[in-house]
Amino acid sequence: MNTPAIKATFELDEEGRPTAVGQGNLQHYNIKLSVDGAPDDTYAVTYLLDSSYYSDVREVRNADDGFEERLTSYGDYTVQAKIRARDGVTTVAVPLSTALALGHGSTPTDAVAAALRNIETH
Amino acid sequence: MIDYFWEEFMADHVVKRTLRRDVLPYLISARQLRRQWFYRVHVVFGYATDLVVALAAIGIGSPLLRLIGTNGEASKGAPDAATFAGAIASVPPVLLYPTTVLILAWVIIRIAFNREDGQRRAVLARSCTRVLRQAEASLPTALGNKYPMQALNEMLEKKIRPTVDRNIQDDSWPWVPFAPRIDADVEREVTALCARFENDWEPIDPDLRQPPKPEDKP
Repeated sequence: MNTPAIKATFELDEEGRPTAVGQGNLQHYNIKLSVDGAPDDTYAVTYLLDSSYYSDVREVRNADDGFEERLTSYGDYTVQAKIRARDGVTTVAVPLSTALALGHGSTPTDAVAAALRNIETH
Repeated sequence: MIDYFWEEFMADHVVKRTLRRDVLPYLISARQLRRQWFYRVHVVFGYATDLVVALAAIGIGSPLLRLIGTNGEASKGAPDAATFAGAIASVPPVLLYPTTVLILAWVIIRIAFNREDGQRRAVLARSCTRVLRQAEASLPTALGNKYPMQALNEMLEKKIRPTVDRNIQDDSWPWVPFAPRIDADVEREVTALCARFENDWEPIDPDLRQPPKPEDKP
């Protein structure tokens, strides 16, 4: 049985660069969170984000796209996901930067690597 | 400009979205727990048992009532079998078939109820209903301030979701996770709550990590 894992990817424009909303000196990158390897009977995933979001708890019930949730972030924090299945609730947690690194594989493009570094340093 | 900003956010304010997508579907589904077969049968059995006990206590108990009250255990011994025969014999001929059908139905329902863990599921469902009703009662307080999301998320995370998850695991919450055909009820309640509280909510972008200033926090 697979262990569920949180995966994150930057949303990319046509040229493969991460898209972001600039605010002051911060870049709020558009990010997609999802869960890989959730049990088949999972009916919802609740993401617990950093408390600096106004809405820091997000419930997603669409299994078809891996319980995908869209958000923005300018920096790193620990993302938790409660994977809610008929057999019980499993909680997994990972730093956002690690989830992004996992999502973009071992050879990210320069633009993605730069965005990753930017996330890691904030 | 301010009006535009206001309308932009209030068109689908995050609080409204959370009420529509998360809070109200759970609360409205919980109300339907009382319509589940195990909940109804539990109530019927509860009243029937109390009735039998009350009748026996005032001396009007009959073998038939004993039979009903003891969950069809007549087959366990000869004396009870005699009681069953006696009970049937005492029924007027015109009521023989309806009574027999009634007894058989009662026994079948009892067996199904026991085999399907009806008692436990009904008790858990009742407890779940209570917790979600308490959450519902605290909804106006949560919605009546400028930044209701913190209170809503706390309600969802500490009361609603753990209770529902536990009841799903115990089969006393039969849906995953919402009851079917509740959209109209949800929409009606969203409309009512928003009409009452929406003007109190500050427009805010829920996606950017921009917490309200500390002095603005509820």
